[in-house]
Amino acid sequence: MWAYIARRLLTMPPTLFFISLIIFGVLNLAPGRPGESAQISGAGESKRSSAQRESFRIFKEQFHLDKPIILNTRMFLTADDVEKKLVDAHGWGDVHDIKRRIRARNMLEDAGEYLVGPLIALLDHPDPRLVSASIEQLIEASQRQIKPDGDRLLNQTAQRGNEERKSWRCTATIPAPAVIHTKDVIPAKAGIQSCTSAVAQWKTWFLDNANHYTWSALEKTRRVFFDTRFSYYWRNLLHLDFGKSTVDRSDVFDVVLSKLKYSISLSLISMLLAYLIAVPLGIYSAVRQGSVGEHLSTLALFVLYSLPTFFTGTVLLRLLSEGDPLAWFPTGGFESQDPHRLTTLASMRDVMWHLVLPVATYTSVTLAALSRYARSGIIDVIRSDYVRTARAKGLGEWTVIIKHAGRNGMIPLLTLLGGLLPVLLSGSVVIEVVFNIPGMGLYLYEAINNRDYNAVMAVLVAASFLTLVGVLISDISYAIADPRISLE
Amino acid sequence: MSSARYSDLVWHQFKKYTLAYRSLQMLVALLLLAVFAPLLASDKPLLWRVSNGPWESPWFWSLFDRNVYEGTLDIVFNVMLVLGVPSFFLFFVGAVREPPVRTLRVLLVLFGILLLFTLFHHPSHAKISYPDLEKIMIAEGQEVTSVYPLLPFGFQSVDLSNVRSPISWAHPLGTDNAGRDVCTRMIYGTRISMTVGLFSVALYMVIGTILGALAGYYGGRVDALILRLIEVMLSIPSLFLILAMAAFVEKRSIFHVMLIIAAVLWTTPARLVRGEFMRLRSMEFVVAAVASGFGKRHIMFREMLPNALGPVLVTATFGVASSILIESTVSFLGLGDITVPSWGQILNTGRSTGMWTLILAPGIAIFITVSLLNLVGEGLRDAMDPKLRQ
Amino acid sequence: MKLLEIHDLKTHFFTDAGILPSVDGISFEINQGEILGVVGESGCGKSVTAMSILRIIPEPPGRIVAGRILFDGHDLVSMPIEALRKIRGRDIAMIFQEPMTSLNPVYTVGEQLREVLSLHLGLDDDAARARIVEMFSLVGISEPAMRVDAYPHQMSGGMKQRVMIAMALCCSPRLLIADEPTTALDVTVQAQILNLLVKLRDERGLGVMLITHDLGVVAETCDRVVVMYAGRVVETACVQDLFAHPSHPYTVGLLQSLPDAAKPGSRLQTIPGNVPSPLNFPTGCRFRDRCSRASSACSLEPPLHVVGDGHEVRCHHPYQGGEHEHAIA
Ligand SMILES: Nc1ncnc2c1ncn2[C@@H]1O[C@H](COP(=O)(O)OP(=O)(O)OP(=O)(O)O)[C@@H](O)[C@H]1O
Ligand code: SF4
Ligand SMILES: [Mg+2]
Repeated sequence: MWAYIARRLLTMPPTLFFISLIIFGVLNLAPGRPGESAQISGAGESKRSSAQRESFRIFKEQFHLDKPIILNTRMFLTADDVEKKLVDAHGWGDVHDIKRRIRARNMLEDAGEYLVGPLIALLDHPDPRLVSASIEQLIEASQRQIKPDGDRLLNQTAQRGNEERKSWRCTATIPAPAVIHTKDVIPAKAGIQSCTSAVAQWKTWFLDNANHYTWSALEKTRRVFFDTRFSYYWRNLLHLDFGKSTVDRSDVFDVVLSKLKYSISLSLISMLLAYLIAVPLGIYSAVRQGSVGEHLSTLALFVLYSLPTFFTGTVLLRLLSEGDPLAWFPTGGFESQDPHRLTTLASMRDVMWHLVLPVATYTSVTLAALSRYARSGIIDVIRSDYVRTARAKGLGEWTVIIKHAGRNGMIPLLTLLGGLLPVLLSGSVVIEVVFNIPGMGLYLYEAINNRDYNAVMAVLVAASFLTLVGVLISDISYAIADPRISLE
Repeated sequence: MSSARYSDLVWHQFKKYTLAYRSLQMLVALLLLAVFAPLLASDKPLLWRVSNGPWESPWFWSLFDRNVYEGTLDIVFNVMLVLGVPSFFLFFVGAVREPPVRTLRVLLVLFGILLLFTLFHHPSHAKISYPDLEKIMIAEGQEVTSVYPLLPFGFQSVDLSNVRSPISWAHPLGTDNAGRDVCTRMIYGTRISMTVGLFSVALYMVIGTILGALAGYYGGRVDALILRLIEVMLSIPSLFLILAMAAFVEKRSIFHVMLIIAAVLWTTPARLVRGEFMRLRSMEFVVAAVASGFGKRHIMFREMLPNALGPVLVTATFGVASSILIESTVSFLGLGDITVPSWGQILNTGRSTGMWTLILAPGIAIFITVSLLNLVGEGLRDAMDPKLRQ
Repeated sequence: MKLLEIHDLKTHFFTDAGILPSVDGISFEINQGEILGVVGESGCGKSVTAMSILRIIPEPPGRIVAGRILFDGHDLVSMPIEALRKIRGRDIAMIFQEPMTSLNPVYTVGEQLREVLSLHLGLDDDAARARIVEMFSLVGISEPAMRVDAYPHQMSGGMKQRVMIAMALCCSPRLLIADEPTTALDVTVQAQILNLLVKLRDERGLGVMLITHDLGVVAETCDRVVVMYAGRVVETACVQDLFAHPSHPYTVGLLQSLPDAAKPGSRLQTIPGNVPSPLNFPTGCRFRDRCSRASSACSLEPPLHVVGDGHEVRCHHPYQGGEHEHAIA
């Protein structure tokens, strides 16, 4: 038994591995990666709010979406390549292909430390526009968030103080990119002069730090394979590091963990309730086949089965708590505003009172499916030979149904337990949104609306993990209930 | 037993289940409602004449006008409508009882030609509100004769002077908080639900069937791989995945929603077909086909697939129901296509405004559609079960 | 002494396709210390009769529509179900035709026997266990003490049938209904089980209703035989009479289809035609479609002839003393 559980637990990481692979795929291959379509359709980034752009950049860095997917060849970039990209990005070339321009710009934004060498080389370029563009690029790179490797040094240089950074900018009088690409504006001579001082500063800086931006052959090969999205993605997952929320900078994984208690208590209560109602109901309608009660319960369950959750929830909320006509229950939330003032008992009552409607909605969904299973499970069994044997032995009807038919008929329900968990979790989004319960579903919903990608990822992985645990639990209980299944 | 006779047998048995058969008829009626929506509700007059000018039909031309509906979806339905009226008379009035293959082909070709025509059709009626235009013209002293459909509203024609109006003869379900006629929106919502249901199911049935067939036929490593993929997909709560994917598409159209639903739900038919293929693989007729040297593709899709199609059809029916449910859930959460009058979308407005008509109408519509589909699915399943057939 | 009397029992199945009169007016009796064989083609209603006695017909669709079943003079059909439950398993026990599925897969076999013992005899767990081990060795289960805790799926078919037999016998019933108890077993085990039944009959006066297809088994173990055809009893006789002077044309046909060691030269014959479907039994004698002696009279209900001591036959034209020999020749 324990060996079995241990073995199942051991097979969980591979499955989680595949799950994360799928999520990795969603992240990387979904039609229109976040940000991109807006950039293209918006003809430049001016239309996107800077906060959203920043959010996307942080997300890109967190998930290393700025890195190449599988193989990294960026350390082989030459000054010529970078020059071409700069020309494309500013639209100085002959081609006015907006997509190409955005691609170049993204590339420059993403390549980070690998650009430093070529950019320094470009400082000697005869075209002043390129020189100032290179400086702009260096500065932009220096403003990047701290990263583990070489970027930190770049960053430290930048940290020398806002003053200095500003001075670079102002002495270089680099025209804003938006002005540059209008083509007819060429930096003034004065600009070029102050530019030279900036160039000199950057060059001396590079002399001191060049070792961070040139790599040995061994290091290069390592980076080809490991400085990639794929590799970082795994490293982050292994550390359970899902990054920070782009909304409030909290650690998303911690938040998800703290939200779990709401979702899990909600779904567990509902599931328990659903089983408690469904099993007797299923047994009743199986035993009393053809009776009026059975027809009524079948009809009621069929109705429940086809009613969408969000409809039931909305109707219940309107009818019973929003005062149309009744206002018995609170209109949402998990507990009242000030739970600390209440005694423990009162607080428990308070939570229960808040949970009545969501649990009722939740249960109604599960109930219908469950009792259909319970009913067909019992029906399959009640005609079986061993139930007949039990009757022939002289056992009371109650013992026959509960002990002999019940246990066998309920085995399918146990397998359902595992499958039910993802359904319940899925349902939690709707229920939590309608009843405003601060659980995982509502968090996902808000994260999606805020484009908080880190949070979306964390919720997905956490939910999948929960599902796996649920399947394991149901498999174990299945094996306990049915001796024919051996736990090996 | 040939498969044609098998389908006759199933159909014969299915017709015996009165409830399921009636449900199927009602579903067909719902589909017709979707097709004939513009005949019931449109703000373009069927007939229109100013003073003594010529009679025109802005309604007819607007059928092919992408700017009126903002989507290819409605155009397809409208083309069906234009073709549907004559074929409806042909089939139902009794001229053609059993449509010969040639008639069907002709209809299909016509369908294609009309669709092509819409590609080159010059939109002209888009933003004209004919009822308003009429008022202005009459005020100017011109004589206007016009015939409108029953509900002279577009599904997105806003009327701010008439918001939240109660149920009346003019507005059978009242108007919403933007003064749009709820009944009109509900009718057009049928189109959304029907397309989402049929299209996404068709899509994921194809994906799932192919993958399942490959897994079941080849077994071994192919099977292990596909099975693993299915297992993994099943461990991610499907609505979570769908919502997350929706979040990654910035301008969601209803087609994106369908694609996403398909991308997540294909596992059901895949598992089913895999099982069926494993069962069929050792059957005599397959062994015989292999022995007589048919190609793998022929064996898989010509010999085996028809035999596995029955259960696939049953899951497809249930699949339509769940796709409709998922689409309305996604729309209800405001993560669907916000330009279309989907039922979930209407219910969402109902929730935020607290208007009962906006809650009950779409809720009941979804409920009825899903129930009908479930009933048909159950009937179909029973009809295919040889144990229940006598 | 009469242990069980069945009078005009009718058990019908009310299905969607129509009413099936699977058991349609059956009467016979079982005496104490007697093994009664019940023979007849598949589907003639043997099992339905057996289940009717304990009222464990699947209901719906089945229902006992008429008749009396007297056990110790009490009518089992009209008895309240609580009183019947006290008889089930204790006074009348039953072994079912399907040994593979008649044991509950989720409980150990020991538990399934313990249940009966504590219910009817009020034995506590230890006493029940001892009794179970004793019963297991009685029916020839090897290593009985270990088998108590086994689950049914860990046993072979023959082993399961022996558990069923042990379960039926563990409360020392007065009547045992055994529905083809030995079909699943190989010949040596079959003999052991039948010997056990004979021994119990002789020592304890057990009455047995032994349903079987095997006329050889009937010849060896039974005292009297009831021959059934299409839901009716067509002939009742003691074993010797039945084999020596079969009277009903159907019985004669049955015996003719038996490979007879005494007449090596004679050809094996089968009864022509098929058992009619219960949906459309012929009127009058239900055998008349297949009967070589049928006449127009046979479309009327055949009368009951007493052809010998305790030898009854229901036929218009029964074979009279020795006449069947000619038919066979
Ligand atoms: N649950 C049931 N539902 C409908 N009809 C039934 C049912 N059980 C038995 N019958 C009918 O009763 C008839 C007699 O069945 P029964 O099992 O008694 O035959 P039998 O003599 O025991 O045959 P066998 O030798 O094969 O065991 C069958 O032909 C069948 O039509
Ligand atoms: S009654 Fe007639 S048909 Fe029936 S067995 Fe006797 S002779 Fe044959
Ligand atoms: Mg039988």
